[in-house]
Amino acid sequence: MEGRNSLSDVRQRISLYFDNELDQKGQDDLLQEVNNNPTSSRIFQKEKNFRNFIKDNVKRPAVSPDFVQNIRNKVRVK
Amino acid sequence: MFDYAMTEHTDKSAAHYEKVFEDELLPHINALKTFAFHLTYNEDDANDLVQETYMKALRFIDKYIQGTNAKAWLFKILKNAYINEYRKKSKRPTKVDFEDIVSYHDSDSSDVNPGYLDLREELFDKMMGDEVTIAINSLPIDFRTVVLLCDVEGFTYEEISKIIDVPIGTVRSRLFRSRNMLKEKLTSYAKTKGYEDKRGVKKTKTKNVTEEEE
Repeated sequence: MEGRNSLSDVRQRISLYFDNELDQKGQDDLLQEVNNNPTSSRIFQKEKNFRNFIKDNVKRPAVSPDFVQNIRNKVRVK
Repeated sequence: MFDYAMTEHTDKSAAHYEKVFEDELLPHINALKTFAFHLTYNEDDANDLVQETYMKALRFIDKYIQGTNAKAWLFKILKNAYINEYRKKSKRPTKVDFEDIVSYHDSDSSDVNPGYLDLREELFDKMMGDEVTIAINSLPIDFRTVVLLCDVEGFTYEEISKIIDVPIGTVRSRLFRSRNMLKEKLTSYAKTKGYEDKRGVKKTKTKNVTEEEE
């Protein structure tokens, strides 16, 4: 049970790490844990892969120059 | 053209506001378009929503403090505009109290089968990218929003909390639940593409050879 709780804690801290929500000490502690524990290291790598995959592959529709210009035109003073 | 006389602008020149608009607000148009697209599901509505966002930002530009977080401010305006207008039009299932579900899933992440959520690099290699958009767009709106704001746009929990008007704890729990849902969807998709979990099988071949066999 302690192992499961510990794993849960590591997962939560890894998630916070990638969300930039850990303070400096929290980051240092987590990275030390990741470097010293193969299980934590694997969880860390998987989460990193997941985050990068989402960020790199989400569709980002282009904004046309005409659309930007149209908004600029509406902003100009009469 | 926008009539500044219709705004509450009084103490600064129109030229000043135009410069603020150009330098601080307009650079976020691509991010706003991405957010709008994933809320509305189509480019025309997304364009309308982005345009409406900028018009509202302009109307209240005197409330914006130069040099502060323009991106978060614009995202909040867009989110509110979406809720007020587009969400009504779409008649999609909208407000559901997800917090009961979330509190259960947030209680202990180890309750979720870790094998099921095992997303290794090989799994991602099999995906083309479109399934990310499909998976995100299939999430309930409140969950989709936090993933877009955090994982795609990089907002902090505090910023997200202010943009969507919920406590930080709710942001955190929604993110946790959203990511698990995304992982489940992507894992299911990978399985339909022939990915099999072969952990425990001794790997002596290169990844490409292994993939061909799969």
